[in-house]
Amino acid sequence: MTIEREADCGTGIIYRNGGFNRASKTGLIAFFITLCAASPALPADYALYKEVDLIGGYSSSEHWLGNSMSQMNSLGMEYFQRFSNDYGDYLTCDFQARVAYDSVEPFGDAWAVEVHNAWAEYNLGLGKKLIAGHFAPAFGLEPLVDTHGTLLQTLASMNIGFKDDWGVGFSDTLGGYDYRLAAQLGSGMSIQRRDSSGLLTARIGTPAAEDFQYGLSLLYGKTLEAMGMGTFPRPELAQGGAVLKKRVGLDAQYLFGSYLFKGEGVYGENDSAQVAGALVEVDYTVPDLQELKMLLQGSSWDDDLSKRNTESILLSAGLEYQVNKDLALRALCSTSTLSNNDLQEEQVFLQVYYFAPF
Amino acid sequence: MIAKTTAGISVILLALLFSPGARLHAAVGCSLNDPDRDIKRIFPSSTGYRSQFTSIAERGGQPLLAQIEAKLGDKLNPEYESIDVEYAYYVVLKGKDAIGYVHGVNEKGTFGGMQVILATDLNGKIVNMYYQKVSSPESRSFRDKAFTDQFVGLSLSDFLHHDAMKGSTDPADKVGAIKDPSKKSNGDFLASLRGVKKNLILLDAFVFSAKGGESNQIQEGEKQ
Repeated sequence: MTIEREADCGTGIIYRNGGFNRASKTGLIAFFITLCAASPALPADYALYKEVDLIGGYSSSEHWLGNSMSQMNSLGMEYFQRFSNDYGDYLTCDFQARVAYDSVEPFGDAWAVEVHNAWAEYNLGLGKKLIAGHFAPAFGLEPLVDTHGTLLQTLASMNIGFKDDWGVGFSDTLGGYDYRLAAQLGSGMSIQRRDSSGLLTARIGTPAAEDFQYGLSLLYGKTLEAMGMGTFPRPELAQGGAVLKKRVGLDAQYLFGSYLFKGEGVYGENDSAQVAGALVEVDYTVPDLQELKMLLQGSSWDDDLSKRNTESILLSAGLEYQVNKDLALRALCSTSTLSNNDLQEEQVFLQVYYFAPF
Repeated sequence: MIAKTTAGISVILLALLFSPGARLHAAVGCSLNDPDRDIKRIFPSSTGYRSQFTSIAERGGQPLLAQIEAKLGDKLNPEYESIDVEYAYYVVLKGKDAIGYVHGVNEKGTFGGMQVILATDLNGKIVNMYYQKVSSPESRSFRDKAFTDQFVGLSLSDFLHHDAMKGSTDPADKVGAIKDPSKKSNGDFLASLRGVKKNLILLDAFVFSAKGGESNQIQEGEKQ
């Protein structure tokens, strides 16, 4: 996953009572693009990619599905640019967006623009970086692993409610460890602030190049719960206002031969209810056919530890075949159990994912 | 209103497609996960670095590919080593002055991929070798400094000299003196040697050939 940070772009985020108006949202996006794309006086390198994400599935309870929890049929692009001067790189920008279509919704409501990465990162000196824009909160596995195009996800959506959020962040090294801090809106993909929402996160962990990596994360803030995924149109919010969340989390990854083990555990509170979650994943690269990976993942989430039957469990098994450097085919079977209404559901997904330079 | 917003965003995306920029890149072969930490560790006096992106296609196309394969003594994989794969190398700076280079390559190991990173001085001599990733049950042996330090001081000419000396027991063959640190992963050892050599060949093509530096050493190595 690309790591994010930035220059002074994020200071363009301005609160209004009840959130942003449309002009300020469009202005924020335009501000990023202006800064990142249009500086002909500065030496710069850029990359531009196109993305096609095709997905279909079947559920034992809902029958045909047009999207998974994280992926929708979509066309997307990514724009990446780096700026340097005589003293080295000083600014990196990334903008990643999709136009997504949910085939289950009525045609007029099926379309959404999803802004994923939209950040600029300013280099304050070797190791010290300031980021602003839309990027992953500094918590758990999500800022470390690339889940942008994959069917398997981390706990982020269950835990925080979203994978990326708007705000500012800082990262640096501390002896043999890396740490990052973030202050964000608590709104996820859309840009809005309600009910004093906001999110503070911090993570400290081992460097990314080691076989065994681990980290400790903290979270405090009031987050908004959107009824759908998208930046435009802005999704409606769940009733009940912002949820006060407090979390502590541990995460780890271990590469051993052809196996990559991932895990994270979370404990904390949603308002006054105690919550907890855990995720374990094993990825196996087939030695004689290294384009093929086999994936197993199990996760659980409990919304209220003081009550019975508030736990959900998801078990998944998948295959991923990298046809070439641009094209991947993925298949996933999963079974989920919601103990509060005794609902069990089986799902199967197939995905074609294409990501290549223009 | 939603339609207007969506249309506005589409205009912005189109503007991006035609925005000015120095160069367009394909997928990068192997960039550093954490260049700040790595460069500060290897070059403590450095104050910054400049990332450079290039490809075999951009630097010389098929003729350069043929030269690279000839020096490597092996064909490049058409998928993960194709001619249009972008490579990132880092010019390490102290103030405005270059003091070294860092460059990484992907290599296919027995159990999965490995990423072999080299740091060199301005003459292409290795000052540090490490793995950013190594998919081997004996990864600890490969990451051990007792193994990686054996590459320090070597340059491309040593690998070409090693090729020329194959079948002999030349005491000056520094590459031939490097021992496999593993018990059962000789394939990963050979992949590591290929990765280091490929890394040096590409760095020579991208950096030193333009300066007439390491390439001179190559010619000397080829003569031996």
